[in-house]
Amino acid sequence: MPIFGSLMEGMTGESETGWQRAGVVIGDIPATRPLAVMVAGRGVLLCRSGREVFAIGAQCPHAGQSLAGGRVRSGTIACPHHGARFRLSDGASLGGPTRRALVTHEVRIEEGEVWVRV
Amino acid sequence: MPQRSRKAPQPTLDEMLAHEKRAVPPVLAERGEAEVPVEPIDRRRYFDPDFAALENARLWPKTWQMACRLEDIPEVGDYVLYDIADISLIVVRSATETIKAFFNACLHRGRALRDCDGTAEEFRCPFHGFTWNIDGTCKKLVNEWDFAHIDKADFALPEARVATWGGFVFVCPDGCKESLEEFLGPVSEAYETRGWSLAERVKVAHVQKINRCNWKIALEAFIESFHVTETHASAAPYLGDANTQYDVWEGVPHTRMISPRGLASPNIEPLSDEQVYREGMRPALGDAADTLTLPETAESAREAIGAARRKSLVEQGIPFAGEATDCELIDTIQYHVFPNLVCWAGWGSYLVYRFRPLGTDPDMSVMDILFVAPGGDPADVPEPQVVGPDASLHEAPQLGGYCTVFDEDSANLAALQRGLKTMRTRGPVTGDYQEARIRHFHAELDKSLGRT
Repeated sequence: MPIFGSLMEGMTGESETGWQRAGVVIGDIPATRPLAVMVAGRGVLLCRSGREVFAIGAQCPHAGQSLAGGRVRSGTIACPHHGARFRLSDGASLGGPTRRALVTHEVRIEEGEVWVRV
Repeated sequence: MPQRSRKAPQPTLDEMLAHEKRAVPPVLAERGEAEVPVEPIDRRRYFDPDFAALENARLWPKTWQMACRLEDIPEVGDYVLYDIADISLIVVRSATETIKAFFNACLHRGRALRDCDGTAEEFRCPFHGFTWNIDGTCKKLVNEWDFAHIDKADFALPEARVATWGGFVFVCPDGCKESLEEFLGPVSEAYETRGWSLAERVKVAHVQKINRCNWKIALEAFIESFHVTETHASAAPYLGDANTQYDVWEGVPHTRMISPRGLASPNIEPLSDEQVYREGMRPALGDAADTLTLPETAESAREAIGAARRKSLVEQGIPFAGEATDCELIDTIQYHVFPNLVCWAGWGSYLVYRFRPLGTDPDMSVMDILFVAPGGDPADVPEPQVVGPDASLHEAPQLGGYCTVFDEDSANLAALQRGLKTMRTRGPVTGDYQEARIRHFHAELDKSLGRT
């Protein structure tokens, strides 16, 4: 089962449905900051909001800058560069200099391990 | 003058306090009986664009006002936007123990640096990229070769004055004559009463209700209990609206009211103590209140409701609840902090209100409704939920039983704005005593506007 790297993408049973191990457990994800991981060759940020875990694209759709330094609060993430804000559950823009939505990925948790559908 | 007429209904708050079984804090024995002339309020103050422009020019830039809670910006870089009339401030935790408020405009071409609340490591303008550190110093001039006429060291973001009290961040955009401590005066002293400190509490709910009315109309609907019998009929069996004490102090812009619970409004048919007890417990117990009997240990419905509230709070581990008086536990002890903040005190409720114009339109306003409660989790602070002008507060179930109460109040607000425009007398007339706080507020507003 690949954890990192696109070379393995499509070569496992999991990839037929797109589900990939993120290689982390819930406890690895900070409460207020995203955790950057590579899943099947893609940069993904894992975010916690209470007991829920969300997976989002690593780039802000406004200016393409990294969201990795963003702050996670109340089910949202704020871009540290120009202040755009997005809802983690569906990526919707909540304010800031863009109306474009953030990329989101489905997440499931199995025995504490985080799986992401990419 | 705000001195209760001898014809006003009994008992007075003094008489109720005399029956307390626990030590009464000195703050409850204070009285504010300053004279407030009885004159109609000029109705144009609520809708005239020129009057709103005067407020925007002379009130909001020069007055201390609550911008947010400290727990809204817990980490370095966290910020909220505080918008009032046409002023926008970025209120940011620029260092662990430092809060600053910057005017929300890029010094290059003036674009708002931020469009919504968030967290920043720097403030970088989305237009051309001019960037400031979160302490306001200039970090980057874009194409610096073209800005030889700008001294980067002097290119810091202009700041508003900032101070904190009770866990609130206050700002004064263009500077105030007084310190915040001097401005708050007796209000600050009152909240030194054991267990009252709002700094020890945490925001656990925040709703922003948009209203089709002037901000003063909304404020005034929440600083008197006179309207309870007619607007909140279900509360009249256990709320002594006409027994309320109103305090206005000479030379102090802030006022107070204490509305007693555990006795029926004198405006309705008399009820037995047991009926009052059942109605008073209904908000907490629902229909189960119908079978309650007045405890033998209680001398009155008021004492029984106070005992129930005390028991519940003690079981929750709320500090000082065991020694608190019935008044502190069940009454509405409410301070209006001029011009637009209203805070409850004690444990009767954990409500805080803030009233602001919505932009520069005198016909629209926003009312912030907060619960600032003991035992809240500072790591889990809710962001404001906006409820539209035509929506029910039931869209915000976190307000619990207050959803219905606020809907009842909201139903009056737009109708007041309409009515005041078509009125053909000078404006509202007010009760000498029960609406003295409203007239005092207008007198203080006139002082701020330089109209006295």
